[in-house]
Amino acid sequence: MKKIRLIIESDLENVALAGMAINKICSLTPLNETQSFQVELCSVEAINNSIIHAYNSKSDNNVEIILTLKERLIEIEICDHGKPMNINILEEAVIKYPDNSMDNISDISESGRGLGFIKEFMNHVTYSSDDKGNHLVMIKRY
Amino acid sequence: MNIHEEIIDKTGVVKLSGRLDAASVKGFKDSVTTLVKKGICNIVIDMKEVEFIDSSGLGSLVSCLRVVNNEGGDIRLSSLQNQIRALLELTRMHRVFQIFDDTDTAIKSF
Repeated sequence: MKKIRLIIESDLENVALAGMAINKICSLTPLNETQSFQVELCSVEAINNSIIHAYNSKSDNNVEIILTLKERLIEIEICDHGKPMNINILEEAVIKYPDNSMDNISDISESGRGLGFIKEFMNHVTYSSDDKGNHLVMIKRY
Repeated sequence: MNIHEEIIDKTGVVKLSGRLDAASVKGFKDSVTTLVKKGICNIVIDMKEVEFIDSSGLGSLVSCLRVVNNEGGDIRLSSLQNQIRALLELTRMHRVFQIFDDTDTAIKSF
């Protein structure tokens, strides 16, 4: 098992640094380029959620990212100490599709796809919150 | 993200490079809005050098499409990298945007 812990200040400008590091770490696994992109995307979405929703976009906090490489999976844990997420939001998350008619641009959502991507691309996702903070754990098997 | 705007044959071309993500969407939206204020409402987004997009980036494309549609224009996408095209297909946004293999063809489509 290999483990790395990354900590970024809760500023959206820093998220790319974590995302690119995670993608590069995926190259150490059997994940292909598309899967590595998807793991990066899910991590970025989770970190964005911590910054935007848990910390209300305030930049004087930390987001911790713990990556663990095990024999047949990569586990990514995103930790913050902000406002907890309503677990129902995660449970109900799906990728929103535009209206089938495609006639009305107003039917197409501008937001709300992030958790849907996480549910779509990761094999297992859990969220917990306690006095040690909020923890979103995502597992991708290979 | 680097953003370069130009006008070719009365069509706005916004060339993006880097990451279209939550940190960069404001600059992208501002770029499209600037063109619309100049009366340029048919716009091609050249995404050849966009290597990453997140849900905020996808949302910004929808937001910009809404802006230009309100002015009677359209946004067309060109030169998408495979991972990004796959995301557009997963979200079925490829049915909302016309997508072209290269920018010249996208410009000529207006």
